[in-house]
Amino acid sequence: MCIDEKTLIEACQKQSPKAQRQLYERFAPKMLAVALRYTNGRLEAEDVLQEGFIKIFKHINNFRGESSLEHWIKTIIIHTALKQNRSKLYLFPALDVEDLPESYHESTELLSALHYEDLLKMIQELAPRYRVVFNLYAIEGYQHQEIANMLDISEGTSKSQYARAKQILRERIEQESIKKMVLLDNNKTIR
Amino acid sequence: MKNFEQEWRNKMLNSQVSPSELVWENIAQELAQNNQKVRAINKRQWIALAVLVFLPLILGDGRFVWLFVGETYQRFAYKKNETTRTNDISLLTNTTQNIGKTIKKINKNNFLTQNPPSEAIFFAKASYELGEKEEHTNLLKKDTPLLAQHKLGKPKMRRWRLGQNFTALQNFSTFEYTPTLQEPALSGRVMLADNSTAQKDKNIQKELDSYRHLFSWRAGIDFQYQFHPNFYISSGLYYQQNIASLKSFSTQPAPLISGYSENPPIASENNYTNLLNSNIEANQAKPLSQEKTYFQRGSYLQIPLKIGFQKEKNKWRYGVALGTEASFLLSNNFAQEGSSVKVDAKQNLQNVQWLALSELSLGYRVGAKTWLNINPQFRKNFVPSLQNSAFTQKNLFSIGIGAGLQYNF
Repeated sequence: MCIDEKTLIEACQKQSPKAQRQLYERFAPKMLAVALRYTNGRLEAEDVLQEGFIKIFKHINNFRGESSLEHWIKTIIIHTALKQNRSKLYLFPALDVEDLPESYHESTELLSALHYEDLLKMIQELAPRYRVVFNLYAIEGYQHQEIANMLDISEGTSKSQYARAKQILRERIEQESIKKMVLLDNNKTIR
Repeated sequence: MKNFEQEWRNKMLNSQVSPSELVWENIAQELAQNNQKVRAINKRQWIALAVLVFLPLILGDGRFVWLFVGETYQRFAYKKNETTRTNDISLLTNTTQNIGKTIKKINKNNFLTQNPPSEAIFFAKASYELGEKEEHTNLLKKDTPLLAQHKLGKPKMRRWRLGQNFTALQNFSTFEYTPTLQEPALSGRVMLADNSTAQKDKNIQKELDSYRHLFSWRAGIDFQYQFHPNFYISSGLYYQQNIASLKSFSTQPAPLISGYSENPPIASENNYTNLLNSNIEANQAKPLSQEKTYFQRGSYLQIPLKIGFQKEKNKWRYGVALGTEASFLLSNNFAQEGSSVKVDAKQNLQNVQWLALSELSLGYRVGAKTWLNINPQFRKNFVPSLQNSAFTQKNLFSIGIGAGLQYNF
């Protein structure tokens, strides 16, 4: 039986195991997808998911409904992932954003041709410092100033990390697209 | 350019991946264990609350004091709200040989007649945190309220803190004169040719009215152990110095005077005999035509022990603490135009003063590591602040401004 969100929250606040299970089932797949973007692989992402949901259930009494439940849960999952990677994140080198090339042509068309799994793999293969900034800026939509506050770095460092991540991803997208095209050509030739 | 980010969002934001069943099993197991822990914590909180309630009662009854400083307790024993008065001048004009016996007899029956004083102190303090950073500043601006809700910004469960601070204080107190058999050996009374009771009372009250607190300061260190996200115990070591002035007709400060806290000079039980003897001799002299100002400089060593509750929300920190404090009088000097009297510190160290204290605190984080705090503190002494006193310090109110450093471990 599917119950509405408010009733579900109230039941979770009363620590009902059934409601907790239902809330988990409702949001876990989406949140695992989020955690996967911030981690190296599935094992690490499931650890984040586990730790994040324990925090959520422990502190659900503090949820006042000022934002959507999904947003609140997602924030906790992101924060948990960041906390887990904190030691790696402190190794930010101070790159100058102006030094990075901006000459790449738009790879948007190539990007749209790629699947979710391919893109996720590309993100996971990024160094943690690039991965986090890319996720926060490009996908979650935070501003560089907010990212700087969150990670305790300067705004310039956030920008430079993002520019570098973007550069790497564009290269990877192009490589991946070429690979796919070659594979496609080969298939046609075989037929 | 924006298309690039938008395309990533389209691809990634609505994606879903099913987790393995093991994840939920681990979560359910952890939640079950946590529920047991919560019940255990609630039990500990109740025990802590019971201790908080009963500790001051036990201390207030004097039993705790008696256990540790039995002799001192007896010296300080008093009969509450019981005052006596004698007009028998012969008691005060006995010969030196008889005085000792007389005073001893009086002391046995009439120790102290005043109520222990209450004090209120209002601190405003700025503190700067050093050491391990507490993770409540690294939050996304737009998510700060959300993150605060699930307390990710709270300090960790158990930690030590070491603080040092300096506080400047201004004291205000009022005195109520209640005549007793053993009147205070205020210096003005000593020199009066008119030794009548009415004149003495008038002169004593005048001296009490002239007593002014000039300046006090306090510096020290405190240790805090946080054993729960919201509970801590703390202790410390503080040195306090009070400077006050008193106007009198006397040509010299009363000899061997002792007293606690911020009080005018008073003869101690031990030296009352000597003082009375010197008073008799002094009575032969003529009173001065002009008042003179005496300066009192008293220093104290204070050791508090507190248990407190503290909570943080966003940039605010608020809490309450209860506890006790032992105050040791280190020195008590009076000076006037080159002459001074220093009280034997060893003698006064035995005269430990105990009090119960309750403290409220309200802090606001003004910078990443800087806090502004306001701490009203209410203190109730277990014993009267003066021995054999004929007047009561009705209350003491202090305002303090301080600065401090706090190290987090």
